[in-house]
Amino acid sequence: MQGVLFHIGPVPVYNITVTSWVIMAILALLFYFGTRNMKRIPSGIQNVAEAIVEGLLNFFSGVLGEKRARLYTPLLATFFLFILLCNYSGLVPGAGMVHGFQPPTSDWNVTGALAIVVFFATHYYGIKVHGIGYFKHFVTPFAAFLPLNLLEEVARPLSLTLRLFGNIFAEETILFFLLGMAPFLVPVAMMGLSVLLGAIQALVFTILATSYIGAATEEHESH
Amino acid sequence: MAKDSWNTKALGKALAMATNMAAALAVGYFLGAFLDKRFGTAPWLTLTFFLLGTATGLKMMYETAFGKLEKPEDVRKAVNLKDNLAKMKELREQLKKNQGPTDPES
Amino acid sequence: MIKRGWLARVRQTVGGVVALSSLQLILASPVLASEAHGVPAIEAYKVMWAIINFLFLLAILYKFAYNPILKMLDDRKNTIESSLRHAEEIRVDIERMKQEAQQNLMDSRKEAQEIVARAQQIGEETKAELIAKAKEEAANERARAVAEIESAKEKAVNELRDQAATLAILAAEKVLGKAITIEDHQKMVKDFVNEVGDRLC
Repeated sequence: MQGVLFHIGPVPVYNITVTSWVIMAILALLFYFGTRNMKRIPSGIQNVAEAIVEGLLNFFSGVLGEKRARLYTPLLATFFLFILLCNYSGLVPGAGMVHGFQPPTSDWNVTGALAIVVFFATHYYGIKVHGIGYFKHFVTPFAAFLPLNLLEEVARPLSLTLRLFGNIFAEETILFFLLGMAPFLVPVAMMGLSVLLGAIQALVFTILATSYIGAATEEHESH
Repeated sequence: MAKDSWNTKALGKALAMATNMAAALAVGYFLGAFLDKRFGTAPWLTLTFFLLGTATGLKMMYETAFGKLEKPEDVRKAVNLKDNLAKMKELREQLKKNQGPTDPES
Repeated sequence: MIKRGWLARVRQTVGGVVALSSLQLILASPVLASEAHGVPAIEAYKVMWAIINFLFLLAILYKFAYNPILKMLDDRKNTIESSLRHAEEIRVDIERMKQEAQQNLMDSRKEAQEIVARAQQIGEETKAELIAKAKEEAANERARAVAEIESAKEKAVNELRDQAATLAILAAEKVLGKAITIEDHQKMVKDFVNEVGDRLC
């Protein structure tokens, strides 16, 4: 099979999986050293770690409000950080060519998996907040909308999957071809664009996940 | 809400619209095709589900732009041309207000 | 002017959205092309790995990032809040102390004023008393002096009278050659002198 690096028993381990591990290790090390001995007045790497989490917390607070942002920041921030680093891993020279190194978000199984996590998290939080009343939103505004709402619930993760995967895969592919055709200058311009688009795609995935979870956990004032 | 997050949300919405529509169409089409193959009713389920998918896509697009359809009145309003024009105008005002300070012309 | 302004803004916004969307489409075109050959298969192991990886990363970041940092942020917020509250308390205290000091100052000023007023009053009283006493004394002194002068004058007048009488008697004896009893003379002369003396003196 394509992209398989080695097997653990019958389970294949893919290039993207190994790259994910490296990205996870980078994030884990950053935050491990950032929070190893926390001080009231931050310095050095603690500053960085705190700035990342606080910035994301503030960003989600703008959409969800402070209380819910505090609850859902861990999940949403993880989406953002993981996707961002996955997208940027494609900019490191050798991506897609070296064994065991392929940007995870350029594979639609990975983006699909992330979208599935969003899907389950949305409904989990929705049921947790509203109980059985959560299912009422499937027949909103009236019963005839049930098939549309059900299709929407399926279309959302598909949309998330396709957007992220499509953009990153396309970037990778274009970059690959450009590197083959013209090793200098043109790929650099493309890389500059990729930096922007990688951040935008990570942000868009996160903001959509945020608004899905936000809509699912919204407190209705009138019942 | 901060202007920053409003802009980011707008960006998210803008980028979401296109793929949402495509995804809704695809879900409708593939689900219909799958069910047709399963029950041998081609092409009726494909057609039905494709239309449902289209409706879903339009609904998602409308909700992305104007907010969720909460009550039956909202649907009536959604298909009311006059109301929609008024809504567009309101949205434009909002856009104007939010973009105001960055525009050199004002 | 205003109309042109919002038109430009709408154009700008729409342009931005169109540009972003078309960029997205351009970027996605190879994908769409490759997808035309058939839907790529979903590889269950990849999905499984991705979900496991993500959940594992979430757990790691919970432990190393979110729990400590969010706790630290809360902690810092609480510290700031409590120090603000503390500062507020101190401010109130200072305000109270200041008021107290003001009050004290005012009190002592009033007291000092009272003391001065009392002292002034006492002084005035003493002065008046002293003056009155002095006046009285002076009056007494004067009265005594007048009395002394009176008595001295009387004495001198009396003496003068006696002598004048004696002289008159002697002179009369000489003139008359005959002695009348000295008492008669004296009486006579005295009467005379009294009469004259009263007129003289």
